[in-house]
Amino acid sequence: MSEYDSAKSRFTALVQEHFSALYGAARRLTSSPSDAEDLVQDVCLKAFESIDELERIEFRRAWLLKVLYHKFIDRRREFSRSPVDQADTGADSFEPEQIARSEIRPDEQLDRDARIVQIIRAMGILNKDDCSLLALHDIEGYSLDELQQLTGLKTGTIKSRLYRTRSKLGRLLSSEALQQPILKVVGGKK
Amino acid sequence: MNCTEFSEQVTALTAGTMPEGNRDEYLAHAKVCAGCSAALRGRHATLLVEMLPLEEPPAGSFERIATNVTRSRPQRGTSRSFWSGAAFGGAVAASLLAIVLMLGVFQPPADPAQTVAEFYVSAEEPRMMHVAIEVDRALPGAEISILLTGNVEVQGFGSRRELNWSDDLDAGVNKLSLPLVASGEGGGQMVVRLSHPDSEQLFVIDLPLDSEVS
Repeated sequence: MSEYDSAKSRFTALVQEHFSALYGAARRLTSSPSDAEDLVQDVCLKAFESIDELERIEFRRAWLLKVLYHKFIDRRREFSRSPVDQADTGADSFEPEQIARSEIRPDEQLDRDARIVQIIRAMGILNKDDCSLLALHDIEGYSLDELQQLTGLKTGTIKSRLYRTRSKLGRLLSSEALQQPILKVVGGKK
Repeated sequence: MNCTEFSEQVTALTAGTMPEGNRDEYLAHAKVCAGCSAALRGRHATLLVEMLPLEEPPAGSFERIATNVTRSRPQRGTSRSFWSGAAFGGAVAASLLAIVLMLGVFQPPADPAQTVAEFYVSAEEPRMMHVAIEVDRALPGAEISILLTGNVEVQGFGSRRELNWSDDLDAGVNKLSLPLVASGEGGGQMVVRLSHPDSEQLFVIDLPLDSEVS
């Protein structure tokens, strides 16, 4: 077996079973299938570069998803630097009863689509580690125990960070600046 | 009720699985606590994302990506440019185009307007066009203008035909990504104008509709 075939075989053995989960998560975060593939390809490149580390990891899917959320934020920042301050960004105008109601009426569907765009945008403004921790817990369904083993953080620390990040996300979603499209050149020769 | 208790139950509250009596108590706390109110909103947001359907990857996409990735040489610790798709060849070539716009300050522009490339837009999905703007020294406060003609839109900007903004261009390559989508037949063109007190350049990019290209 050639060196290339060997490398591809190792990569396939480690990543293929998680590929659908990666693509599904990426598709939620991107506006087109090709963007989702680009994002997953970024994750796969990172996995290939770290293949020795990946072979030793127990929670391989969680590791890959964490990289995916990091890469998602990297890409968002390449596209736009948001003027939204990450600190408290404004007053909340919603009623908690509205948010706590989980069912969505058909006439709310269009609003919800626009809302998803805003949410993805706001997630792209979060700190990378905070965003990935929140997404792994709230969206991907990893338990506090699993996150503790993945991150090495204490459970209390994870809870505290989840609370802070949810609050930050909630405040970002209240910000009027988030409602406006942003177009910026991202500069700098690396 | 305190914020720690609220935080532990925010998922149940948002998902509607909390008993009615407790629910009122938690909602009352959210009404008077800004942090928990924002956390409730944040949890509702992540719940909406969680509820989105999970799409299956296109057939052959794993094999394609695996081939692209494993053919590249692992380079631990190196940073890649933003040309993430184009760097690996044909996997997503239809959606990516690298265009280098040279703004040579202290040099007169060669042509008033140059056609630099083609990029195929689609009505089916937004496609990301990456534009590299290369300048030979830093240009603070450069003016950037994009004018769209025909049936092409920048996603998120609706029917706006002209976008103007000012930005600081660094020496070297500056990157601009534009999600473009066709809004009708015929495609269109995009005119990019880069201007600075020292120089101005116009670039025209043809944007034919993908389905019209044989």
